[in-house]
Amino acid sequence: MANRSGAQRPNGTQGKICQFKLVLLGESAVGKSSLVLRFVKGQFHEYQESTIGAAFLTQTVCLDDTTVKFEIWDTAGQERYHSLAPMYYRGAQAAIVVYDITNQDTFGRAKTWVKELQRQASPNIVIALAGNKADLANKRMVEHDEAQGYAEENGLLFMETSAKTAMNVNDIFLAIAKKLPKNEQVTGAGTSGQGRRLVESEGQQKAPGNCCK
Amino acid sequence: MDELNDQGVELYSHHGVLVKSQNQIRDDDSHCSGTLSIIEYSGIGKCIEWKPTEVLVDSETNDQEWAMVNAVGRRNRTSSGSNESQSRCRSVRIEVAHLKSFRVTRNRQQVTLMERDGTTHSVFFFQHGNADCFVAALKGNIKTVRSKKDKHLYIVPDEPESQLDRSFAELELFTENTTDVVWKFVRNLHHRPYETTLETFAKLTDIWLFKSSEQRREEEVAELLNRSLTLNETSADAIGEEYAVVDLRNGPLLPPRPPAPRGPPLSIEQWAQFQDEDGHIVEVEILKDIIFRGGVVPNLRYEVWKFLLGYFPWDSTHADRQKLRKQKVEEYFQMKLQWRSITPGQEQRFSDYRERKSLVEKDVNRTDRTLPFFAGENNENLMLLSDILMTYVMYNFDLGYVQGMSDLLSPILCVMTNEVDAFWCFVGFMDKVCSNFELDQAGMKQQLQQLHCLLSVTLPDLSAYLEKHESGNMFFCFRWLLVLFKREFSYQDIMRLWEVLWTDLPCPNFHLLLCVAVLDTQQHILMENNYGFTEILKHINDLSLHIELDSTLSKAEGIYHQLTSAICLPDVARKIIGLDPLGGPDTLEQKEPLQTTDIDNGLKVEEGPESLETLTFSPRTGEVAFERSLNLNYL
Repeated sequence: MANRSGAQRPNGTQGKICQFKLVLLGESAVGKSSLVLRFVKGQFHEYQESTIGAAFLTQTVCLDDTTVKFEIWDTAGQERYHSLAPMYYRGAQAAIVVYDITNQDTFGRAKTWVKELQRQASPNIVIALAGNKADLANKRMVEHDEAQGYAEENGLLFMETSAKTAMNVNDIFLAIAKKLPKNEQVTGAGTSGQGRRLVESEGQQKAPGNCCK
Repeated sequence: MDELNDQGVELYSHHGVLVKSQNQIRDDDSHCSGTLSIIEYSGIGKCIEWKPTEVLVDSETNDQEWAMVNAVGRRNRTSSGSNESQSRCRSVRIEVAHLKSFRVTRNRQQVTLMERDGTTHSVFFFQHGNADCFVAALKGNIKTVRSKKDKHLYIVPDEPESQLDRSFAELELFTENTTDVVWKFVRNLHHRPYETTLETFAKLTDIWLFKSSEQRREEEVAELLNRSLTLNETSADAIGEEYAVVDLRNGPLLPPRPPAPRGPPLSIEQWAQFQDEDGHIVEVEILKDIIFRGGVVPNLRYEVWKFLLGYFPWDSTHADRQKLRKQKVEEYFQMKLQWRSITPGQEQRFSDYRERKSLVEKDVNRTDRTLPFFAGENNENLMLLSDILMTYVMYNFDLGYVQGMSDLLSPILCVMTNEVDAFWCFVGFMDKVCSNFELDQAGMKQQLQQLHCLLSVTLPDLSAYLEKHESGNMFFCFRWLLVLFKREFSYQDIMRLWEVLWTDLPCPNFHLLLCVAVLDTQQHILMENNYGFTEILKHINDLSLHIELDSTLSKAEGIYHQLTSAICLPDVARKIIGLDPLGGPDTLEQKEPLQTTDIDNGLKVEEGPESLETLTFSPRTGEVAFERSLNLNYL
């Protein structure tokens, strides 16, 4: 079942609690798991193992009076496992498509993912493009402006990130959180139910700010 | 991220609590000692905190020496080198409000904490005294209910107020179909008045008095009621084992699970006794049985694995093997030369090759780098790993390289150390598991279905639970199956497990029974925490490095014996574990693999507006859809 964790409990915060499903997509070894690990645990492993199947993590951020809880699906990147991807992006309200700035092929693959999401994911999905491994600027193969131009054309959020140095990692998740609708209306859900459950409740359990960066 | 200004008020603390961290320690058993406390913060409320006693070196100030010492002594699960190794003991903080349940084990010395989102924290081990004080302190701060099915498990109910305070009417048990429910009740009452009444009210009480979680909503209770009130219910569908009606017509009757003792590993002396003068291996079946029961002593692996993996035939002589090896060396280097002699220009125009090469490079670089064998920059063994995988690409170009293969090769290379021997042993291993890596995932799908089938006859309650929680596709076992538990066990354990599995004893697909055995151990945790699709996946992922190998193997063998002597075991299950079909009418529906069973595989569309998430499966495209629909009740 979907209803998990604290979001539905009546003893929540003063403000709203929003829960969003976010999926990470992108070519193998571009740093999807590393971005999540940095965002959720503040850690970085130089030789992060490949992801087999999928991993699921949660992290909460605070935006003004709203607590945004991300349910993050981290997926295996290799093309062979592509057929499993729809299982993760269906019903997702946000996606981060990741490429490696030192590898032009991964940028091409990212564009393919964006297209697939635009075609098959929820119509209102918020897509962010992350050019990861920005710390390896001396090996850069994808120009910042090229990616930014592409992102603008396609209405994507865009940042260059580095899971290693933590550059822009929290920022990209926060930017997504800001862009996600925090109200209850659901527009054009189409075939994939775009559900978010929101609770406005009294009580003071969690002070806003404790989970903010 | 958690920048708190207030220091908090300490409500309780206990020194000398050991932690074996979740993401650490693949190969050694070091623990960190620290203090476990309950602290109340004005901001986030009460938290359970564990802080290591030893002073940690900040990552900014670490020097090379420290990092190196740690890289050898304390490897962690996913990383090695640079800035991570010194931070092996991380503080742990769990908000009490997020606590879902905890388990107290090992003479009340161990506590495992589980959160609502499925996170399972590392075990806290109380080396001084036991966990009683901590548990008492915890109970003083939150309401807990002891699980009826797992006496070690304590569940935190969601609503602080007593369920009994609510009136029956408030529960709104029959929002949708009151009439149906009532009529079914009346009908059953007519036939079996006493049982029907008792059963119904027992369940009501059970559900509402010991309501295990927020997730049982009114509709579900109604559904439970419905099911209990419906005739022709199969025992597999019965909720709660206390009430399961054993009925031979409806499912197999499993005898009690017999004990299956493990044994010592095959020793060097024993191994010598199994070889005749010429080097033939004699009495192979007895030999395999010893290996099945206890594995092989580590320094024999180098020899025995070559037979287990079909590189050397059991009935070959010393001379045969010498000859064979010479041949295999030649064959290997021939294939190696093929890719080594591809020029950069050729590579440019050979995208299929280029793709495969790039995949190998990416994965080699991050395979088991925490092990000394693969640690450090420019490690020669990494080169071997890469060369063998590239040569395998030439050996089986159509399959190529698929993620997971480097995991399968790593322990073999570590044991063989020789490039050629490792390659041919890897080929033998791949022959056993290559269907896992097929492009259409058919091999994986079939295994997941077979696993579901075996689960449904062995643990019908859990199987029914999983189906009801969108997990009947068993997808949460994907990683277990794809790389045969490589990510779930320590390096020493995985070597032991694989050599056991390579004996093909006691039956085909024994690894699926191993999955069932792990799930048997976890079933109460999954069910009583009322975990859903995501929490189940997270909980199962978090089991990595926390599964006890020998007891699990023993349990799996016990399950095998149960199944072989079960009455009315359906043929579909019999076939999976290599038993002859009985041919009689099956009580479980038999379906052709793939298409129909896919649909039957728990991927059911739930109806009604109360359904939050649905999983659909399209046999035509092989696409699994996971949807969350809008639930008006929650808005």
